[in-house]
Amino acid sequence: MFQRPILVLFLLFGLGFALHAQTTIKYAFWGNPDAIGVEKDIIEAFEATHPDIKVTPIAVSYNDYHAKLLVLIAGGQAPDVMRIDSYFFQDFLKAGALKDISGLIKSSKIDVSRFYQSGLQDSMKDGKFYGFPWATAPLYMFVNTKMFADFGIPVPKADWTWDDLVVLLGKFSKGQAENKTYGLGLSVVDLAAVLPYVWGVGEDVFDKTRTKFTLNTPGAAKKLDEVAALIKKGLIPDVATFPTAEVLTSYFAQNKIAMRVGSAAEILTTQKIDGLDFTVLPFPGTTKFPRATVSKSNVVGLYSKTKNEKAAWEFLQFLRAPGREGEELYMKAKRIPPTVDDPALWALYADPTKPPKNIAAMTKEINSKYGHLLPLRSGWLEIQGLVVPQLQKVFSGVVDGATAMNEIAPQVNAILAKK
Amino acid sequence: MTLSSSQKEAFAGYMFLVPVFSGFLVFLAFPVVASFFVSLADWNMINDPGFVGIANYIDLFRDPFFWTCLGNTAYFSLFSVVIGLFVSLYLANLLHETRPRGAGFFKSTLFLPVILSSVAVALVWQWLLDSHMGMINHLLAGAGVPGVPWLTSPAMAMNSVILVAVWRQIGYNMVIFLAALANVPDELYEASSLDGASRNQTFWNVTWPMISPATFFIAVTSVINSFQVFDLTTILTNGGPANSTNTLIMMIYQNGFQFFKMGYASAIAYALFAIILVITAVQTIVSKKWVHS
Repeated sequence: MFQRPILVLFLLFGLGFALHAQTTIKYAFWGNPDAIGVEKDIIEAFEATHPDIKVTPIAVSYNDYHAKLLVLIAGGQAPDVMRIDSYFFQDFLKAGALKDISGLIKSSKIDVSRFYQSGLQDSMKDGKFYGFPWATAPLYMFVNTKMFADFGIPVPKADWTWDDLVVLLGKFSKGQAENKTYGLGLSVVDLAAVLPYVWGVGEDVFDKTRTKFTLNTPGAAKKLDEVAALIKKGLIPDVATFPTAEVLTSYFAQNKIAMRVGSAAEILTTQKIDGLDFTVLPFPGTTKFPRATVSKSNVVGLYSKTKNEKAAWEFLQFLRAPGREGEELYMKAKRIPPTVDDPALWALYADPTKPPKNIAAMTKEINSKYGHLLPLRSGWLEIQGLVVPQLQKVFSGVVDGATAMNEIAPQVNAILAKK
Repeated sequence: MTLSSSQKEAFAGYMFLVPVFSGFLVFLAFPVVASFFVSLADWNMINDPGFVGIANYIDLFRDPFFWTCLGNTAYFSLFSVVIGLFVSLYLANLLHETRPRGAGFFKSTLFLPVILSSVAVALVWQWLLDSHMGMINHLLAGAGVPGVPWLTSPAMAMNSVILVAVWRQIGYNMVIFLAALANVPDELYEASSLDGASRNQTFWNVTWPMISPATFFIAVTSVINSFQVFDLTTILTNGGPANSTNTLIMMIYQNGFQFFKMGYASAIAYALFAIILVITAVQTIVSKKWVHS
């Protein structure tokens, strides 16, 4: 006689368990301990509103992050949601690691047009979306305002040009040995550091189809030689002086170099240096080719074979979709600049007490008039690995631009043909 | 079934071996064998590997960057090992012969770099060797010597890395040499003295042959370690300027974890293994002519 009630009880218990069963998803991102704080806040806020989903963070330092991601995927432990640097995006995409979320975007009626176009482009391939933008920002020209004031030189306006920069280099190049000052510090550790120079003369690393190497064209090679000549004249320090961005920051903070190119993340570290005041500008192009400032965006996407698509998609929307909580929490933590043009978000992100005070206005201006997307494609880092040492040779005066670029053109074109 | 006491003992012995042997199998033997098969494949770690035979090895020998990295590694190895060996031998001999007051202090100071984190060491040296703001160039300027582009010139950068590597390894080598020197029987020195041998003659005819097993050990382990240099070059110069400090291990890392070419990276690893094996074999064969047994 007790069999039926017991069976009902079991069924109810089973149903209740099924209803309250928690889905656990893994979310991978890079960052230092400061950066992990905001991710924790976002996860907590998400879990508070989604009690049926638990998010396990996988936090790795940037230098090891993409290698770790590969190992996780190869080991069958792929995160459901993952952040990917745009330099790696096309390679992960080509390897089939990222899910096409175009259908999910459509069914969830997400207005992707609110994202900055530069961010969107870096998250797409052949018209399909493979993630949402994360940290869409230009590589700004940092300007040491104290040095400009000390030298009695007014800070240029956003529409300054390459010729203006060359004039400034002459004015800042003063002193000898350890007392020497420079107008610009250039660290040639990646292509993004050098492409603005050639963009200013209408050249690029690849042709429009991104299938042919073009840094060996006469126009591009001439521009590389022009920069090398400035270094030879002592107007720009030897590029090997700055093997890392940290060294560049140090020179900038010690008033040795008046300008340097830096990312939004580097703004955060530079802000922490006591007594350093700086502002930001676009990289100077020419009147004909003003778009010479790198505009770059990373991506947060879903693993192509995620078994928790629904929960992962919920989290991704919370994290990155325009108007959702994640973006606001990032802004409150001042972790990354907004990926949408929203004054309220910019007000949260830009701290009026800290430099650069013009960041919101300048980012908007760069996005509209001076921004240039990197011609990213699969094999980018491999190509960069070939080109950067050659650029270092050119800027060290070992070889001229045309010779250096022609030397590696067959290898680069072979990678372009293969990938 | 009852086990005899010797069988029980053997069983216990095997049981003690299990933890170490499991670790060896899982973390060393399996990856070594697996990476050989990976070297015969085109694999990006995400998709299934595709068998390509020896194509990765053919590509490797045709890759000019491989030869650049191999040349850099060989240069680093040759000079860091030879200089490191002789400087540490000189210091060990000096400490052994003169037995100065505070010898323990000197030994500890010279050994200190060995126990320091290589990343911290590289970062400090990066500052010391900075062309513009580094202390070394600052001191040279005080003496009227023009600044040296320690890390910024392709011609100088590898020499600077060697300088740091030698500084780092002499303490370790010195301790081994000191132990070897302490084991040279005093009678040999007495006999040498009675024969009227000079200090130099005593060193080359008594000390050097007697410490040759230690020298051989240092030479072999230093060559193996030097061919695996990664941390110093990565932090000090990141392989630059103009690839002048890029080494084979850096090339493996770049291909495997930046370019998604696991097969190619494994092929480089096996090429490196073969190179080290050949050098060690040559060292062992040659050692029969000069190492005192």
